[in-house]
Amino acid sequence: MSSVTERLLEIQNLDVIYKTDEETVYAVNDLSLSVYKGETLGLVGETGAGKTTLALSIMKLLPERTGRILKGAIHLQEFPVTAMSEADMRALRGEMVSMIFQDPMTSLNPIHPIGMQIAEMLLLHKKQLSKAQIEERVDQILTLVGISPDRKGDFPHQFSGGMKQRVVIAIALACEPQLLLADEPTTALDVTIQAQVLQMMKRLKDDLGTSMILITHDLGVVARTCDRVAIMYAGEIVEMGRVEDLFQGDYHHPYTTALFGSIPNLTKKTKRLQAIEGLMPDPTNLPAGCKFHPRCPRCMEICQKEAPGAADRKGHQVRCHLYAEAAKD
Amino acid sequence: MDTPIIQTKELVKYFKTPKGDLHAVDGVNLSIQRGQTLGVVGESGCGKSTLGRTILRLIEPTAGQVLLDGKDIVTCSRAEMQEVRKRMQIIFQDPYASINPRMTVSEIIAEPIQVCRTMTNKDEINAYVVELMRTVGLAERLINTYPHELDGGRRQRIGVARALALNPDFIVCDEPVSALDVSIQAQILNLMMDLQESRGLTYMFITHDLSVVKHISDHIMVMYLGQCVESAATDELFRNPKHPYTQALLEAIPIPSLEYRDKEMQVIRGEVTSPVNPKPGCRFAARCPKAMAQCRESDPLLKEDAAGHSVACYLYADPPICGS
Amino acid sequence: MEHIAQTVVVPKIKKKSQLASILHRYRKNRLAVLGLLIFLVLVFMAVFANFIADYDGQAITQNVRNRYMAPSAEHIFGTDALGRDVFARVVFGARISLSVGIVTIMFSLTVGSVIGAAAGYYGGKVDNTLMRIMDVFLAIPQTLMAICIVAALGTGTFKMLIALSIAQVPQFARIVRSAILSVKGQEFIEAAKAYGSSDVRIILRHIIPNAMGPIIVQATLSVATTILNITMLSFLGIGVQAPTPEWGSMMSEAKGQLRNFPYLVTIPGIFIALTVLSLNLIGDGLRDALDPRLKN
Repeated sequence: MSSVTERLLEIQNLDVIYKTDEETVYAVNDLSLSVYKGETLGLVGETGAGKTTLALSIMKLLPERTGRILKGAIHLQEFPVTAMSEADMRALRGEMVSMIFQDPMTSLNPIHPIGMQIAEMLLLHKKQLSKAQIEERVDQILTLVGISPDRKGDFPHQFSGGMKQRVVIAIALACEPQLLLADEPTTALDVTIQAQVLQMMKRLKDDLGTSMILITHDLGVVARTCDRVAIMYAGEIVEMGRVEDLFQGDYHHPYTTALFGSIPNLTKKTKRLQAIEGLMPDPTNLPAGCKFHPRCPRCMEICQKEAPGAADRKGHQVRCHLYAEAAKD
Repeated sequence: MDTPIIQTKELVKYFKTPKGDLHAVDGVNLSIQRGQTLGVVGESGCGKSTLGRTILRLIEPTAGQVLLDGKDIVTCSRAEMQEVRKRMQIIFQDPYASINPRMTVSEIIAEPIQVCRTMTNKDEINAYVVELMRTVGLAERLINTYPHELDGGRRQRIGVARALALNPDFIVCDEPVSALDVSIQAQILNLMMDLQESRGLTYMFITHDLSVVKHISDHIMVMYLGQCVESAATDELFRNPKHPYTQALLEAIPIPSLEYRDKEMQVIRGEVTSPVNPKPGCRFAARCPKAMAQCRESDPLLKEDAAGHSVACYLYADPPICGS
Repeated sequence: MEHIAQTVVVPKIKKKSQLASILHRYRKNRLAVLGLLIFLVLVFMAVFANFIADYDGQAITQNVRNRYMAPSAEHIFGTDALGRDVFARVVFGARISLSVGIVTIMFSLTVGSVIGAAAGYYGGKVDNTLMRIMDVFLAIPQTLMAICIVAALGTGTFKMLIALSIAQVPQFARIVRSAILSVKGQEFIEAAKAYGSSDVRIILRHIIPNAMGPIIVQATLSVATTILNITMLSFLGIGVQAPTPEWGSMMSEAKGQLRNFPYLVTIPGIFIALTVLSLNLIGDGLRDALDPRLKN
């Protein structure tokens, strides 16, 4: 499908670090990734895998004093994000690309009515709109996320968690961005509310044709909403492919296999979970070779020395020495 | 049947708020047999954490009884409570807030022993701490480190070791794995199940995660706004969920498998209502797809069928009231 | 499963005492060490004043012929309006200023902490009663309060000490209370209750150590305020009585001659500033050293 559809976002060999006086955190390491028009890419990984850093790099919102893009390029359609000035980037944010954060409680300004917060986004980016047009658009977008337009004068504290997250999504979608970065948008919500929000997001994606990068640690959410999936570990993508590739077959990175094994399964009865031994590697001092090798049950000698390249099978990439031969086929 | 190790009778906890009484726990009856795990499931604000703390008398109940081996502990004096506390412990959700950042690992684990004076000899305590650390899978070299030097999984192991220090029979586990990454979550769940087997522990496992609760529990209780709406053996509950709320919960869990991908989700409307001065009638009625007139008038009672499956819903009332 | 995995070097278990590790962390903060050095010099000066200068001969005895002598080899800080040696007076003045300052803080910190801890920990009615009383005290300016108390008790160094202590209590009660409120809701407090810790143990072992930071900073700052308050009371004639040397009173005595003999004011002023500065540096250093989280 990659050959047919248009590429919206392209990241090539991206390296991002956080540098302080004492230490350097290697957050994203040599990461390449594409997002096509209209698709949802799930970005899965544990705490410290570099998911949020990647999203912030795309937005160019890395913490100014410490975060730095060392090398690599990010292209958002024709815009070279990595080379753009802050002023140009500001115009791009909201209009081309928007981000939703995990915690809806802190993403909204408590002293402004929610309608005004949505209108502000429009005022910034769609200067040609008249006042009446903006009002109309606010009503429209609120209806879209399932909130009655009568409530636009209400303040954030008058909404529940799930409703707040809808407002946050409404703000992000106000200018109809091409790409939406959703960082754990439902993690802070209860399951029944999560189901509501996920359903709404899926519908919105179909209606508006927005592409989305959905950052999550929940493989269940991925199975329900994503078209393609990238599994991240220690700042790298260890496996990437269509959702069918990831959830079926046995051409997988050992980390992916282990991740699936460690989730309690609702449909099967298991006596013991297959935990991944050990801990995430220290991002200031990553292991040589494959970054997963100290925890890998199928570790070989070469894994300790050489970092594996991505072996590609019809668009399904796995970064593991186990499949090095396969790559040559 | 043996006397359950823990039993509550019409346990009630109301919190006073400016707007009225907040019904956090509203007449809960439960019982847990020795060596078993009761999973308590519900969404945020359903009173599951308050229930756990009320059973331990960390929060004083407004009314009702908590029986430990058949003896009511609500009426226990301070001195008697001290003895009771040795038998029941708690593990918390947040591995960052639940241990004192100014104490070393060994101090944290030894603290309950010093407080209860179960051991007094310093060397003996030290040896015991090392043994406990080994039991929960903490390397001995970490004995003098501070919690902030450790990751979430190891901190949670400290929490488990501290709970084990007094050699309790019963442990309330309040979302012990919710704050952890999946791979670490699996490690801790395995540890807890191993400990249960080797020490014959009884757990009350509070969580919002149904897949976790299914994995670890023998029996499950579903709570909604302070009340138990359904209670059954784990397999029975998952095979045959009766209460519309339980059904909705099970429906809402995203399952990491593609089989359910294209199935239309049956999403329930609305959100949890306020537990302050709730209106009479079933608390779930406002969101329930099968609500009837009667549901809004009076509280449905928890009814147990022959298989020990209890549900509080008029759909299963006897004689049945049909939704005509 | 992890045969290749564990390459971690196992360090020897070394049991470092709490105090040793606190000292270790404190030593890393250079400014704090500097502050401690300055403070030790001042304390040394106060303790060994008898060996450094002659109290009766130089600090008290008036010698009108020698008045207003500029600093020289004989009188390194010069002499004042009554011909007394300023150096000797500064050295002996350290005794009063430092001891009153520190004892005052010890007293008000203890009383304030007990009140604040009770109010913060028990909450409700206890909190309301105690804090409203403290509010009444707070409503009266600290210095005015001290003046009132001295006026009621009569003058004298010891009575001044009591007056100043009482004036500082409400501040500490407030700070301790809010520090305790921020810690008491945490789960490790609940855990301590679950294994049956007594209230006193919970406060002393779990709450206070975690609430220490702002309290220590406030204490060191308050020593400074207290020294300034002594100055003011002495200036009003109800503090340290002449001819006892004290930095504040030395400054106020000389203020009329500020234009002609500025060293008479600046020298004791510099000592007050040094004391305050060193205490602030020590306070900052201690706050960090007591927090194991800031080890690196």
